[in-house]
Amino acid sequence: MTDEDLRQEVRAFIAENLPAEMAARGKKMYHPYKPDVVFWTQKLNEKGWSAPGWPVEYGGPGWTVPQRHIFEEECFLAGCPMISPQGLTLVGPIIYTYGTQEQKDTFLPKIRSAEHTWTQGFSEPNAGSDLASLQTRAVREGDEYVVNGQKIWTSDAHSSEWAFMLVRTSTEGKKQAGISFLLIDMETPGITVRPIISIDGGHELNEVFFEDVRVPAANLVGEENMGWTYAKELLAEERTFSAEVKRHKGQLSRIKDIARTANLRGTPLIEDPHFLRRVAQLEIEVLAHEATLLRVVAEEQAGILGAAPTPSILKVRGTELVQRLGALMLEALGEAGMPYYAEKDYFLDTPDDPPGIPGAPGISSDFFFRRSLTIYGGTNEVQRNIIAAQLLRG
Amino acid sequence: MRVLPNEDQVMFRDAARRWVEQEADADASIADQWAKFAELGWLMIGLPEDVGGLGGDAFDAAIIAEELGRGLVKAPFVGVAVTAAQLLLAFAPDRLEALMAGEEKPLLAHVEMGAGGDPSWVETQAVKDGEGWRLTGTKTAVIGAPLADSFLVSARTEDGIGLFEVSADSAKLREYLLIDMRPAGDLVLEGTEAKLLAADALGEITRAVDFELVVESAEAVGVMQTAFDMTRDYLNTRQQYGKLIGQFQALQHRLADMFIELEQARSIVLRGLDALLRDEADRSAIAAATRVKVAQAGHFVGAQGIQLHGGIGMTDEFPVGHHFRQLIAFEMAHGGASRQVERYAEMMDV
Repeated sequence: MTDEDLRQEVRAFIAENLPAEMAARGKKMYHPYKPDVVFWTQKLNEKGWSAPGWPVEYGGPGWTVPQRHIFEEECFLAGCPMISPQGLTLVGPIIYTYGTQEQKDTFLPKIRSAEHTWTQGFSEPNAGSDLASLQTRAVREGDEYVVNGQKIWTSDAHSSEWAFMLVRTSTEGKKQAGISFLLIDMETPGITVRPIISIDGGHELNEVFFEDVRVPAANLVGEENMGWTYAKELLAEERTFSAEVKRHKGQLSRIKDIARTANLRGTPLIEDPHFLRRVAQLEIEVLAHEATLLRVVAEEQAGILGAAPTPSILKVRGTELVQRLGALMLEALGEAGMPYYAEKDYFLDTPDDPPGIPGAPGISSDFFFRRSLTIYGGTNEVQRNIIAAQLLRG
Repeated sequence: MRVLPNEDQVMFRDAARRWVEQEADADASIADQWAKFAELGWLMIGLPEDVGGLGGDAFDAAIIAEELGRGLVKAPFVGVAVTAAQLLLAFAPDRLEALMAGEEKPLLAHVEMGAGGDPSWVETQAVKDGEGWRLTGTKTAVIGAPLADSFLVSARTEDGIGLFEVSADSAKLREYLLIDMRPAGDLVLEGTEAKLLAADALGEITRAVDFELVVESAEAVGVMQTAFDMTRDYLNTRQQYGKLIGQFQALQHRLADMFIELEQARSIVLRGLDALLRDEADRSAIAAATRVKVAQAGHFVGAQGIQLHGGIGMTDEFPVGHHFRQLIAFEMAHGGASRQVERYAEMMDV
């Protein structure tokens, strides 16, 4: 099948299976809505497409990386609910790489079907970019671990069935050497989830408290005290995921949509050459960034492990471009971007006689929430440290 | 998108790098260097086999251009072996043999002052005179012009934009050095005799200019790479306040940003070459985008290269400033990077 055939097949599948109101919600750019995510993941799972990056033996569709990009791009542009990335791109690959047969059999099918969605318990109040300083303890008692401590910035902890966690199992030696990777059922007694409302007014982030939480030792992934090694690999994946090219394309398309609706002194904004030049500048940046992503993928496939710190480069440029595009969306809206379009009032339906222009709700919310991009996964300042360290060592 | 060079291309790249590092003598005449280019096959590398070329394409030419850029080689490789060669391929393929042998060095004289990067802006007039033609107008910023033996000149006839050939002997050339010390010139046409190559040539001229926009970008990536390498090495050598300046985080972050820009530039050149090879509908838009990204990245990398070197970066004796000068000349050509942003804006999908 050619790439173009696949693109057409994906488009046709979306047209046939994605309900219009769901697509409309997807395009609004508020936080993921779990019923939509579950519905869509199940639809994709029936088709064999819900784990696009996974090997065939674990239920992946067997696509090449460029084919996966085509799929994800089409889904994003059409407003499909995003498959929960914590299960799909973060813990899933860790389980099929380092997990036991039992863990693979238990968890992988349920990630694919969205029976389980996952939350990532890494950061702590005193372990942000300096993640290895984490202090949540897991003490082995018989065939259980007893977990005590606190996690923070845990996306979707309030709506997830399972958590994958970094916990401290040893205080000896280097701080990286005493960390383990543990899977925890969020229904386990002793877990308290407290919402954190972010600057956009929405609820995605949480604090999670663990008080004598008893976790079967069978839920340890890989070896005890080796969790840091697995997590580093996962963080590199998270940074590549943070290349965000499909989001950039969605944003560019939205910017042009807005500019067709908005007007400047009686003329559609899309006809204003000054505005178009600003769009052009960012579209050029996206072209270059996308080419970098394709380059990295091709080099990886050819087995060239360059000296270049590519995940960090993709993360820095990808996240900063999302923020610049977000700012341009606000600029396109002008005064129509000033009302507070609260998620609770505008997400599931629209009030009568709303202010602004159609398409405005959700954009400022997204703009504010995406400030988090340059903070999570290791701040962009830390990424620049990593890049420079590799360059200067070379 | 083609990303990785094949074995032959790696061989050519390594040979070019060796030549630039070890043999390219800044004092050698460009004429001597040119003979070497022909001998090494670089003048035929990007041309199809049916006209006697090596069967490569713009990707191959870009590999050579990047290596020449690393060493600031002044000979107009892209102008002759890419831009002019593409036009001859379209209109006078029998002339390519002499070009590939290094015997003839034609250059496109197309850009006029005030064109703002628009390839269709031509004010030079062509008037029929017996069997031949006479041209009147001024072509500007022809890089390498003093070395050319003939010029391919665009001019307006009653029917549109044609392409003509003017021999270097019959044309008046106002010679000068560019800010990066490359020889260049304005071609001043005052009823100058010319031979018609094609009456309706705008499409092919635009295509050749797209090739130039992109392959010169590959050359600029080479210029940038050396400026970056020098800067990184300097951060690992220079000491102040009792430690290597590369240990200061402010400078580390600047170096990281330079590297990101360099990588983005390198990537978009591959995208630009891809558009040339597939001759896709948005070829000109992608070529403009390539030019913009590489020019802006080059300005940043070159300027920060000087900044991170401090005082020594300001001296003519130290090479980082020479790289900056060539990057600025690159940015200013074809109407300048800002005009190329406008061109992209006009061509992009809305």
